[in-house]
Amino acid sequence: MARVGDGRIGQSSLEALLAFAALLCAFAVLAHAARAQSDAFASAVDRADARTSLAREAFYIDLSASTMPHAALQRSLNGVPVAEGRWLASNASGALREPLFHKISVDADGRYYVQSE
Amino acid sequence: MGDIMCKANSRSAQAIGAQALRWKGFWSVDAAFALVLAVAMFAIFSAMLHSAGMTAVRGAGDASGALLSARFSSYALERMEKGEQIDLESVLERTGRKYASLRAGDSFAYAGETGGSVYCTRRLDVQGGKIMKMEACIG
Repeated sequence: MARVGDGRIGQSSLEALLAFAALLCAFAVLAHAARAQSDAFASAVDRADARTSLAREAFYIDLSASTMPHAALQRSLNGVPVAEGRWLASNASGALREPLFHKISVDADGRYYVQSE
Repeated sequence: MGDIMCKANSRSAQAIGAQALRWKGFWSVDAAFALVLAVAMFAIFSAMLHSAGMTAVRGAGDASGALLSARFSSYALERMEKGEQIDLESVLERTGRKYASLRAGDSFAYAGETGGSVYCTRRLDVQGGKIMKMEACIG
């Protein structure tokens, strides 16, 4: 048996449900946006870190070439020599490069050599 | 009897009033303000995150430019000690930069055009027993 007020209660529940769904959608959109922002930030920091370490590496290489020409670099490099050893590319991203003022070459054992021109 | 009816009516009115208050509270100004605050805070934190990322990238670019100018100055000194000329155009071509300048003592040479940030390294060198000021810039 229907009573007075039942329709109102049903309407309220439906509205509450819709409002809750809208709230969940809003949270989902916010969470997605937050994740995108976080990913962009992490990517920017990684790129900055890679560029700094690459620049430092290039500095050490040119310094070694100036002070000890034809010396072998005993430690492993963070970058990969490209363009006939005139540029140092990042291991993480090939688009990230640092120019070198001295050529570097790699031997069969994987050791890098710097040489003055 | 009349007293009982009056109490019943009063309870019914209270229940309806409480329900109306609950419904009103669901869409209150406070709730709307809280939502606005939440969105505003999210926007502020997003902007801060973006700004921090850009600052990190800019800092890395500055570090790279500063180290490149230091390397350029060493390269220039190395060439000068050997008595060789420094071709600034070839330096630009080699480094992929747009501007390079070299000041050694009273002489000054440059190539390219300054468009963005220029990073300079100033140092002293001894040439022929004389202390010489040198400045190498690249940008």
